[in-house]
Amino acid sequence: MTILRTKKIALILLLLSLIVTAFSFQRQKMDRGGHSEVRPRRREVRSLNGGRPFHVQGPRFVPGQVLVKFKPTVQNQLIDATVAAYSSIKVKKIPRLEVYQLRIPENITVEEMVYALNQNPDVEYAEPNFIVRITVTPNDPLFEYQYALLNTGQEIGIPGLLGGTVGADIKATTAWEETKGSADTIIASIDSGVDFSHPELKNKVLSRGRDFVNNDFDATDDLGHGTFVAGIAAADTNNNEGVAGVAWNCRILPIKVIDETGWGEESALAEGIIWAADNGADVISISLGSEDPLDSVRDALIYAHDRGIVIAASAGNDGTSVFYPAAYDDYCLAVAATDYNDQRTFWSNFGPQVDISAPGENVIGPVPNWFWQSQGYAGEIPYAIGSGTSASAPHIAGMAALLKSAKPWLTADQVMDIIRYTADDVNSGQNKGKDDYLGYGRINMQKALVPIKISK
Amino acid sequence: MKKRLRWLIVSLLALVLFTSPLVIAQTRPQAASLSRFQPGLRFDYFSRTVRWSNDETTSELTSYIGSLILGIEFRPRFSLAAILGFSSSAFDNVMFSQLPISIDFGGGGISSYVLGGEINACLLFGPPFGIDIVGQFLAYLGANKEWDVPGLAVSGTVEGKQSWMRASIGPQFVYREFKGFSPYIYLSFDYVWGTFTMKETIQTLTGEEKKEFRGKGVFGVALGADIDLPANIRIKGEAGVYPFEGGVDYSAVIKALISF
Repeated sequence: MTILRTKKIALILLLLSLIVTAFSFQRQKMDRGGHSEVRPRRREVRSLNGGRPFHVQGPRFVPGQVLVKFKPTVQNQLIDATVAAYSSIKVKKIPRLEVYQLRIPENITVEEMVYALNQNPDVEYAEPNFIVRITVTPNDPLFEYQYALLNTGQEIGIPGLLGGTVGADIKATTAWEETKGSADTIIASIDSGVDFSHPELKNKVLSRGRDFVNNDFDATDDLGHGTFVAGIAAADTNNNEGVAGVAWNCRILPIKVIDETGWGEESALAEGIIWAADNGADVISISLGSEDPLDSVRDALIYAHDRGIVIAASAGNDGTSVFYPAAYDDYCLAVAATDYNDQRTFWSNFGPQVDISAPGENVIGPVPNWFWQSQGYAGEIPYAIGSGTSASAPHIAGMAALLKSAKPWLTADQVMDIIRYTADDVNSGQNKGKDDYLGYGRINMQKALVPIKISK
Repeated sequence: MKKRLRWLIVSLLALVLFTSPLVIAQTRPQAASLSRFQPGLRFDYFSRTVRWSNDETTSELTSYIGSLILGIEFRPRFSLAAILGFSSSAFDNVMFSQLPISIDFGGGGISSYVLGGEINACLLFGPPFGIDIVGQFLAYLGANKEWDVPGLAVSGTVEGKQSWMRASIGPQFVYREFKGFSPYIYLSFDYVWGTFTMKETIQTLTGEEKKEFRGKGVFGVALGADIDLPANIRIKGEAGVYPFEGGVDYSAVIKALISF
């Protein structure tokens, strides 16, 4: 009878200990983040499944290694025994932190070993030996002057003029960690054409494009403006040369509607929009306009918009009301200009049609190889610093291309809304919410492209 | 494949339900077959690592369930019970990347009603060991919960709705030599599946993404005991583990029943 009672008590104790152990294991799991697998860190490795575009790839952690920290009460002998029990070898110990770098056996994955170690009550934490890296920064040497993409307060290429406010930028580098865009996503740049020999564009153009000035199929730039704005949107990036484009991997479809004097016809612009829509454009960038309504251009915008094409158009640089076609608010994004301090530029046109803004003051971009020589400055590199909403609109076009790359199923209206609603309301001190000067604010590519964390 | 598995579980439960009385009749002498009403309370905890079907990532589902049990013991060692409860279920990070603005969700638990049923049928009754077949089905019905989307130029929300089902069935080996105390080991086929839908509404921008999931492991082992107290009260405690490739999940149950 006594034996039976003893057995009974022992079994009850065993049962209780099992329940308590189960809870304590779970508590440990929750304390360590609650993962039973090492999940990819959100901004590092993402699945390529589902036809989604190119993402940053590469190992997240050192293969065959884990880092482990034992609880302070654990003696060295027990640490050695534990490491041996897991068939691992100590590589080194990080001084002062008491964190051990272990080499693990080949027949177990890093994730499994991390999990197993984290179940050990003597272990404070275990983790993969993650690979750390700087945020995605292209190797283009002039990137350091592109405050619009990453503003660290740096010089922006004009002697004595600093970049202004740290963080007054469109957060391109963080967004590039999520996506650099797809070569299948096409930005039609409707302007004065492009310099097809320019190192920033020669590998980025889809074709020789269309010239509605000379009515042929060679949109060669004889002004310089078209090369500049196309480069802002999608210059060849990470090519060890010049500048970076907003839409890193996307391509340009050049359409020439402006002649060498800087003038163009409404009919050419309307035709250019239609041609872009019929020839594979996903996004249209328009850095030109008129103070007069352009009915045929409006109809062309409707044609393109109905085919899912996102259109960004510059608001104008006269400090007056918004130019057309930007003012056709239902079909395109009207883009105002900010500077390196996130302030509105005084010359940026304004009105209720302004949707959004992007840097447009002292923006660096490519110009045709012949450009500086024609201006009497032979030997200069083919890049220039320019200002205007012409420079702002291609930032929006590049962002729209990245969004279309990442989520091809989005409609034009959805992309436009994402760009609007994820903006930073940088002039909220003077005009809270959407206003006539900067619209919803300066674009923020990070918010638009990197998943937004919803926490408890 | 998943559908086939679900049908298999349902079929097994049905098989147990309909054949258990026959088995009981064959394995032990007829007892006075007076039905007994067995109401009770029950608390469940379980964590399950689940795999999302559309992107093959994993998350952990953690659920706490408090429920009422309305059981009937039709004849000795054959009982059916309905479970009516309330649960808070939470996933850790879940990525909704098909929404217009992608969401990395870690918003905590969503509370909802739980309905279910349980069957316990004795296959072999005889000292020192007995074998029962135990099956259980739980359905977390899902309720909507809303969160603000932070950091936007305009106000916006996401609304999440989870629903899941859990079915388990397997033999329970009971040691019956102790008076009023019956420890057991329960080997179960345990399957969890469900959906998590997230709806995004940011002014004119709307989108919805539905993700399906299923538990990574399908087998579990639990240790537990039934403790008979005076006044026809029975306490049950159980702790289980559910191994899967690369890890293990846990569960715990505490149950109190009173028989009339």
